[in-house]
Amino acid sequence: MKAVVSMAMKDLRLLLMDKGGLFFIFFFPLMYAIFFGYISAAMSGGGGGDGPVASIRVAIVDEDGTEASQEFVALLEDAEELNIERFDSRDAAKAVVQEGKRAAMIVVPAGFGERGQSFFIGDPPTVQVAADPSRTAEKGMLQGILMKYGAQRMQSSFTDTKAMRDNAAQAMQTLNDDADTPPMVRLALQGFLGSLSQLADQLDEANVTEEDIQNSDAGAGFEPLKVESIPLLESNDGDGPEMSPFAISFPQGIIWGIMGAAAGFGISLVTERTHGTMIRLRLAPVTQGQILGGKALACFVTTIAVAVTLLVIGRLAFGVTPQSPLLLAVAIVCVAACFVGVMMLLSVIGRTEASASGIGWAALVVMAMVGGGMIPLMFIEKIPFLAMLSSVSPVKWSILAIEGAVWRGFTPGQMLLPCVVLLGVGAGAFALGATIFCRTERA
Amino acid sequence: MSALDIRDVRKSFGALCAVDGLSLKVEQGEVLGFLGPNGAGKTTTISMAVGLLAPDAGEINLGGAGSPTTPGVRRGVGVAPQSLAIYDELTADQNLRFFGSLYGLSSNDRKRRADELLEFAGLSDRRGDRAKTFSGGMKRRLNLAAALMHEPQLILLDEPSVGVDPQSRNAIFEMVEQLRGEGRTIVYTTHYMEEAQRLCDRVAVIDRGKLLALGSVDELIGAHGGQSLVTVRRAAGEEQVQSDDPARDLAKLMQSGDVLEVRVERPSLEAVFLNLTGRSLRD
Ligand SMILES: Nc1ncnc2c1ncn2[C@@H]1O[C@H](COP(=O)(O)OP(=O)(O)O)[C@@H](O)[C@H]1O
Ligand SMILES: [Mg+2]
Repeated sequence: MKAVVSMAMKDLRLLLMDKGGLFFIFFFPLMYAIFFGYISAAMSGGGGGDGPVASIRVAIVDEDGTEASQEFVALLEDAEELNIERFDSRDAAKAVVQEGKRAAMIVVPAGFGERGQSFFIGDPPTVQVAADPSRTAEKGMLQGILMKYGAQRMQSSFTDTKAMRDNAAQAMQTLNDDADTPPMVRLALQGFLGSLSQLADQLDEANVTEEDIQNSDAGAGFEPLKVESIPLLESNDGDGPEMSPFAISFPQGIIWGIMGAAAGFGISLVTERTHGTMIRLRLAPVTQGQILGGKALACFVTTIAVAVTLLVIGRLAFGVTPQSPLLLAVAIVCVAACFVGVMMLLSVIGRTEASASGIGWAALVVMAMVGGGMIPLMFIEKIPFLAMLSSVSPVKWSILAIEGAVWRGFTPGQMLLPCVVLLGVGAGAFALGATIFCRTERA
Repeated sequence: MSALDIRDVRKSFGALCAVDGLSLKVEQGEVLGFLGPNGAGKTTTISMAVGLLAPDAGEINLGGAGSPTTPGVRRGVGVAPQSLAIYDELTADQNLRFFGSLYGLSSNDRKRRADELLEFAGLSDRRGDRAKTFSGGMKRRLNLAAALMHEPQLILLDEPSVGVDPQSRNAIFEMVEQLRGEGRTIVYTTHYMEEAQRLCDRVAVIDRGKLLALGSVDELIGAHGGQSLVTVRRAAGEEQVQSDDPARDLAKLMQSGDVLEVRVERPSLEAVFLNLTGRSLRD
């Protein structure tokens, strides 16, 4: 163990002397985290913008269970902008959003159908949306899409003159039953509802079609559907100002730093070989396991240092407050272990530093790309092949684990899967890398 | 018990036979020169002797302790590899202490040994500088010092003077002579016959993976060097004689008086190599 520690100390000392390496491991990721934090803060402030239209994967829960709510859910299911999966309970839907499998959940709460009986009295029908805070663009799009279908639903009621008359009658009834309505309002509404019945008669005569109404601005003054944002988690306000965009950019920054460390130490094993120092290590009374152990330890320590540095800066300067420090520690350790394995594999793929560095970075960038480290996962997941690659990318699982502890509010049970995947990938990569290493270095 | 016993060792790289049935015993306390041109198989032999490479055939025994592929057996061996094996980004002092730590030296021992060896290698005033700022000669000296941190009894130096300025070369010679004075066993690999001639008790001449001759410099020259050149200058001019026995021939030439100057040129190891292989040591 002493030899392992001295070798790790030597590597850390070498890293401290290497300005370029330090830049890639600490400074660049920090810049990344800050830069993209500001960018996404600016983007969410100005609305999602009109990016490419991808169908948004959402979970839906129908808590109302009325005919009206079922029709609305069916309408959404037919919508080409949405990829809907039904869930039986709010908690089940919430979990898949938390875990990043769906961009948002829509809840059609009890009372939707009843409120929908009348567009004009009381509150408008309401749906609740809880979105993954890292997917602000999709959330904005989802709100627009829901309003569109809400309006469409109301308009179809208008063209359905029988429904309109029923609506007016129903509203009149409600009004009459409700003793609390102030007399003046009651009077006004009675007049209005009466004229609505007349409007229905006139529409029948004029044979107005649905298109005509859509092209006019009819209904613009009413709120056909209210979309209410609800927090994904009990402990914060979900989408409110509390959710700092840096909470998304910092975990990504950490991954870049960790990838820098993995690449750096992977290359340093190649450097030991090309610069002849590996010969001296092998001449000394230490085993190959100890040589690799020293590298792994140095890489592990650096990885933890990167994560801690970025998290401390994120906490102090950018308000990134982890929900569960304990789970975060677990996540960071699993991520570090995974990338130690990746480092081991990177160290054996190149014969020279240049090739190791080139191939290593290319591999890492691909992992980051398909893992959502660069392009949002929503675009990656549209292509089945990339979606498959993404689910084996350590980057995806690393981000999920860190985010899970920072703001996704993972339970230990939810943290288990990403951690098991990370440890599995790490162990597999390490075993493969170490086997190849020992084979090439064998006497 | 010999310090290193190599028996009928072979090593091929693909079709190329780098070491071809070589046997050699290095005795305790001697400086053995390992002389041969580039590509002769010297480094390959050294690598097998210290367990970095496994021989295809044959046996190696280190100081009676067994095969060098066992890590514990290598503890008593120090190697200065032909390709520099130091960390450019670490200082001279940090390099030495790190290598000491691999041998389990205590922190005090590491400091003491590093100080001694920096002095020994003439690097004391540069101890805090990174190795990458060193000249080729200084790096060579550090490379040699790094092999000595754990005070090995058997020291293998693979071309320790290659690419070095004359001043550093002399410093390295003095280091080797001092080590010999301390009773260490040294294998000194070189393709410079002057070095072998100056430093070594015995010289093994190797070419194309085979041991061609082994003995003291005098023995080798006597056996394979050919004739000496005896030159006598008189007022009338110079007279040169090729001689197997320079003393006898010189005495004969001196008899005719009026000799102004005499010169006897003994054949060198260069001539030994030329006679053994038909080629020159220098390529
Ligand atoms: N790892 C290797 N792979 C292939 N050929 C090698 C290898 N190492 C040495 N050789 C070849 O073996 C021969 C002996 O090399 P070496 O022992 O380095 O010679 P020397 O040290 O005497 O100059 C050379 O022809 C060299 O090219
Ligand atoms: Mg050599």
